[in-house]
Amino acid sequence: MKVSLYLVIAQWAILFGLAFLLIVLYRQLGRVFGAKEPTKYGLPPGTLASAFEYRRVSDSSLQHFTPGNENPALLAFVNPTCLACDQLVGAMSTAHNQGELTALRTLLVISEPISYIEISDSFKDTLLEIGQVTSRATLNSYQAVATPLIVSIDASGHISASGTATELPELRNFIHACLIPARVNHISEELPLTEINTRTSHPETSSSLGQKEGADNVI
Amino acid sequence: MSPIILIAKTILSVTLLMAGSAKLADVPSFSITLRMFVSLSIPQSFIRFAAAAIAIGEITAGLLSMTFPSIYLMNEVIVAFCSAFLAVSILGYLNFRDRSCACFGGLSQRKFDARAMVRSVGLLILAVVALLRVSSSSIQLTTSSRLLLVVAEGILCLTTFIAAQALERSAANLSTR
Repeated sequence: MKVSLYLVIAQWAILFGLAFLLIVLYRQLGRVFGAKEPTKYGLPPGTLASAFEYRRVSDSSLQHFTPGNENPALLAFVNPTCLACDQLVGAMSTAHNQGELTALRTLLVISEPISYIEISDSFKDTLLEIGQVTSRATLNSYQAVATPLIVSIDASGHISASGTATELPELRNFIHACLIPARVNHISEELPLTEINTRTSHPETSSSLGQKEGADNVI
Repeated sequence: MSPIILIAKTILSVTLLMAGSAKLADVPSFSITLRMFVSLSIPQSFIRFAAAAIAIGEITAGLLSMTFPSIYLMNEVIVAFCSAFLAVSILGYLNFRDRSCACFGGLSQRKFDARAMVRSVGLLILAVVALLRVSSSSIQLTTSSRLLLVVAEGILCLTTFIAAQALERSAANLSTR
């Protein structure tokens, strides 16, 4: 029986396709079960948060964010095209509606075009202030290399926690961290980011915020 | 020359089958990418539908091209697909650099970058090579061979679909661990 050349080539191509899938799956298994280097994004606790300029989405006016001045703040670096950010903004809106954010200055910081807000219902419906960064330097100064990134800033303007969250219970840890003064030191740099990403003056009362190893979108 | 043309043709078919199946496994992610290229006034439900239609279109093109190699029109359809991929790569590079292209759904983390453009050019070159005529004897298939090919293509699509979904879910678990 004579097998056509095309059939031979097609069979090999399909076989290679299946082999490729096998390799991809084994690679992923290695990632899931193997040791991982934690992704370093977000500043370590105790760092002084930097001020920045942003364009308020509701009225397109230029605004200035100044950390400190006895006002704790919660910044969320999010983008409308990121699914995890969509969830986070939903959770933040729920927290806002329940009055959990009243003691905080809350700002959703986006880097994508303002028109993209139309993509996400959570972004469209939220009553929280949304600001678009006017310079990439702002993202760099907070090491916001991926979204979503939440930064808790205490009343003195120091970062008390930073990391990622999508659900309300996780978000509450960050809200709680804003209200506790951050210890200004650099011990946190000695700790792996996956273990703990918050250092407060009352470590026994604070909950640890595990920094997740991968955010949804890379900015 | 004939083997090169046939290799180009089958590589393209397999690529289309895998890309389509992977996209179909995660239509929401692909629709987000698609949304970046169209007017914001278009409803999201339509974008989802278009994303699924593109994925199914890729699978159909791959399936027909591989199962019926003698249909010359399919080669031209694939050239059109590859030209569209290249145009999207260039537009993506210019406007949405380093954002995920969701080209292979959860199977890869490919982005709109220079490498994506080079890959798209490579695919277009393969598609043009596949346009060349080959002797009819080299692409002759019996009904049973054709049936076997369809089954193998089905297995490839199904495996890709499952793998893309598994990767998507395990990636989500990693990010919420």
